[in-house]
Amino acid sequence: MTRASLALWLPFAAMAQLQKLVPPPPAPAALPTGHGVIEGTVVDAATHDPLRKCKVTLGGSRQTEPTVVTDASGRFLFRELPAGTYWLNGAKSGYNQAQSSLSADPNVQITLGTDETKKGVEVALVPGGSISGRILNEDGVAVRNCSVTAVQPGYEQGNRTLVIKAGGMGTSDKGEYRISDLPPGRYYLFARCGGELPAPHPLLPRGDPRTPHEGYAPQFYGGGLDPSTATKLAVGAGANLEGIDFEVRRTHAFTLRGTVAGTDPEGPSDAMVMLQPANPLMRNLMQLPSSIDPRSRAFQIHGVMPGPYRLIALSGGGGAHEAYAQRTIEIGAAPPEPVDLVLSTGVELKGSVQFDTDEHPSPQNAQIFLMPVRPDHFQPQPHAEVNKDGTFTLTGAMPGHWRLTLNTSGYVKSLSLGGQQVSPYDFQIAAGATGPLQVTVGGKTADISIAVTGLSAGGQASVLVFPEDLDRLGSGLERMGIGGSQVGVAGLPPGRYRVLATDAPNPWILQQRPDLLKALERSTQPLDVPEGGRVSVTVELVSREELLRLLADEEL
Amino acid sequence: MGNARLHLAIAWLAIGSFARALAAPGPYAAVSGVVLNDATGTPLRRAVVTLSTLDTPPLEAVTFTESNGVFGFTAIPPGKYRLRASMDGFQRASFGASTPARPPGTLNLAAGDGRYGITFRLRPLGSVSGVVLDPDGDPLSNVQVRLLRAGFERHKPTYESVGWASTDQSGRYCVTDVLPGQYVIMALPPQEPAALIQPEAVMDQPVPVKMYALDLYPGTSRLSAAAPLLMAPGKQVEGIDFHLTARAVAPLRGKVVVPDNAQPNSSVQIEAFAQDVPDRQYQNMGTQAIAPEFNFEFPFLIAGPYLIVATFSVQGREYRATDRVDLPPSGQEISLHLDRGIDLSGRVDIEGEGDRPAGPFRVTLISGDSLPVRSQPAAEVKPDGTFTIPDVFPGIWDINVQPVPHEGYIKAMLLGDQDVLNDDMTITANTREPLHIVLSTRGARVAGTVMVPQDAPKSARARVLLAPAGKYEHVLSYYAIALADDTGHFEFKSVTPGQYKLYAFEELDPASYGDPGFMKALQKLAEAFDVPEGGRVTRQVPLIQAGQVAVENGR
Repeated sequence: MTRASLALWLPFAAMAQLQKLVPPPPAPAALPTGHGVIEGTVVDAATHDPLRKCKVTLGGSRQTEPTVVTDASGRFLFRELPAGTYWLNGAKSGYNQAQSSLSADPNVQITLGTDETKKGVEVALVPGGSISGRILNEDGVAVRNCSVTAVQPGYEQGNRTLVIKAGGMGTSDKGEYRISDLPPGRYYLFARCGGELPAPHPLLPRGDPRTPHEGYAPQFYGGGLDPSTATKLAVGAGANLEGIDFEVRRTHAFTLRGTVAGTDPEGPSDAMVMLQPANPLMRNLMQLPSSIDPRSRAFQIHGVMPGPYRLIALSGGGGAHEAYAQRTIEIGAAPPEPVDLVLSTGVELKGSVQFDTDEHPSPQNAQIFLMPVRPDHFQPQPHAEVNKDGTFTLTGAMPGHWRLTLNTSGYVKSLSLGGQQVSPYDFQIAAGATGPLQVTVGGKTADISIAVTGLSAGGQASVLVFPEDLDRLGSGLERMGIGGSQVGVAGLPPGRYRVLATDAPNPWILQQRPDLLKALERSTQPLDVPEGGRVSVTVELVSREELLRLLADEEL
Repeated sequence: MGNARLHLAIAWLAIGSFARALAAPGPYAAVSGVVLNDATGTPLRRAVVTLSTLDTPPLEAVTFTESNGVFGFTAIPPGKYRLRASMDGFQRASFGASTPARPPGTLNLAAGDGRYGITFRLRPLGSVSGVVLDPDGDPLSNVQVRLLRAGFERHKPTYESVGWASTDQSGRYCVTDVLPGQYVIMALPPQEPAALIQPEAVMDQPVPVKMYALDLYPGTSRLSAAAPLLMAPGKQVEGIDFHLTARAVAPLRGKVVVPDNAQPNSSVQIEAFAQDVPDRQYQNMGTQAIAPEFNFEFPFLIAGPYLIVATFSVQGREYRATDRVDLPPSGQEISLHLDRGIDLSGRVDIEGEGDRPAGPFRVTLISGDSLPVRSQPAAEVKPDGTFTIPDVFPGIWDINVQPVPHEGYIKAMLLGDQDVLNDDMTITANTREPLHIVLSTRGARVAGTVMVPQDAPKSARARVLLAPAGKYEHVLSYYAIALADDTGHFEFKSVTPGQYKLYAFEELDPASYGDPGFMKALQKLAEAFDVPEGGRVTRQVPLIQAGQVAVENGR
């Protein structure tokens, strides 16, 4: 996993397990038995045709869930079932690909009585769509080994970017590509043809970096490298868009050379460089890494086409000697000059932690984390362990905007750097910054009791609590609870929040998407949390259908 | 064909005008010609033509052909050059070599020279495609279809994968850029349980797991029944379909006996290599045996022969266990006993006067039985000439020593008093003998000229094979191939003294000397001669023309 993204994803990974509404686990005593039967068919949600070769899983009663594979009539049958609540999940290649998104179909739930037979159960799976076409160059000749991906705007670590949803297989020798299994939605298509091709040149030594090369400029369907002018393709359930052809053009492809000098006199041994497009939206789509020769400290990145880029060098791999450097580079029509980077280990900041209450846990072994406000997968993210006396030393803090969190009970009440009060959610570390970093931990957190209205009898809702200032998402202020009409959330720091209750599957996705939370604002309840104490709030359930309706204009 | 003639005529006219433009003599030379599709005779546009010098590294100039297939290089400094043409989807061609088995020709360009009308005929590459279906007749995606070419490895017949493709959602695959030749085609399904139609399930009665078995075209798991496909140049072969079968799994369980000082959180890596997969690249499943019990299970194997290899490290030392298992359909329980590798000590001596390499010397062992190792056992030789290679597991090992003295040779390798230079070195858990390596500076030279029959076309270029004769003809490291120049002159350096035969070929596939059948067919074509230590031997070698040698099936 890329640097430091692990720390932020852990809470969300835990949330992901809630995608099936899990009933309490069965008692470990002797397993109940019965003669109940569940029988039905799996159909295509669009055409209603029966689906053959669909895997159907019956969840609810056993650790190892029985599965079947349907025949040509889409039929499935489970026998010898004890009484209880079950759910059916269907899976077939090309169907139901939106499984872990807000628009996933909820699993079919069945409550079975003792020895009851339930027939005619229908499981409908939404067919995925496909996009296919050819890639030809400006001479009308098919281009092979181009990768075509379907991408959508999305969020990664709270920042807007383009996310690859499907595709990536190279075009055939006839230039043909096909992207299948697309959940219904709107997509951009991005074509990237591999590597560098020969270009005419006079006698030059083989391997000389000045040797000119060509490449095909990557582009969106609809032309260009700017997603705002690219064509968005709407794919309905089961729709097959054909003839989505690209014309790619040749352009110069250069070798970007340079050196990376480390702060360690022995030189970086695990150092690497990465060339990324300057536009942060494009970073998932085009990356060119390269290793660094340990002896000469030189690197060569091949196949670089004109455009604005960011060159990053890093070493240390998360260890004590993490170092980083970055430079913006514009590649024009001429071969680029060599780039020399110097790795920096950032500044060292000493600091201390103090508490605002007398009763507080020992600060020893608590950990301080610095997270970049505009996340960069590669920038080292400093963290430090706090000593018994509350002092700590943070090393490797690069200049930029940071957010400070602490993994102790309580919350970061206030923060000062070099005597100046700063916001713990967004403060700046300058190139020559010195400490001290003074962290004050607030001990008084509140417990919230949330009443959910509009829930059907025996139904369950997920309740999301998040900071009203959406820029603070990702600082540990979010909470999620699951329950019936009463849900409790504990340990909330003071501040302004919003509460949302929904029965949609995979609600944890919303807490990574400030854009979706903004669109749902009017369906959320404001919540003012004081320092400590108990607060009650009532919120109306937003059903899955209502949620999808409110988010109809967003990319999910 | 008429169309092709027209194209060629137009191309010649174009070259003619090109030539006229360069007619004035000067200090430079010029080269031009045309690139054609060998199958249709039509010109190829945007083929890549490369002109290169014979230096190391060479200087290269690149140009593209025009729509009429014409290319040209101007302002070329006088000298010796090679010329080659290539294009996606075609087999590349070199000037002077009508097939890739022939050595490339050399262009000798003097000041003011113009070489026009060089014609390249590129053969289109073929493709093999088809569909892979499961036992229900449904398409199966993610199946890897490999083309296997027969070859030899340490004199044993083997297969190697030379092209592959994966099936898509509709079960279709297409392997492109296929050279002409003979191939066995293999479908390797993904290593996951088969999803077959089974609409009913009874609670607490799990359905037995089945795995897809690998398949060789036209539908067998045994090499002897596989039908090799003969690919003609440029043929697009379709309909090479596979109907996979699924077999019930045979569980393989067991325990690993670990050394006493094993760490509490450690785990043993275990791999199961299917032995009936013809491809040299094994298909393997892996699992782990975790402390403290060190039990393991392979739940997804099907019955058949396997090689099980367990590797483990404790306190910097490497351990390994191997076991050959013929897994029956009912499954099996085995016990793996980890053995420590031995420490192989030895010394390196240099004989002979002359330049000695600066060192340090390094001795590396390379597995001769393709068993997996975490890293190649190796050691640096100390200034006193001794070395100790740690963690050498039982098995066959090839020895590599660097650097060899300039124009010198490896004179001897002895494990105790056993010759391991000319025979395989087998290490067991009880091996105690030291490894003695002797290098000599007195390598021999074998040089000569290729004799070309009067009626043979073109020049005397040939690939010359130096092959050991007599009792060491099985030692592959004594074979060498050299390229004769335009005058037919060739030279081999650093030759180990012994008995040899020389053969000069108009066409030679460099891998063919590994085929015992090929070497046997050559026996009568040359006489053995002696090469003494440090000697300088000169021979005349008759040219063996293409098609002259009929090879018995050496397999």
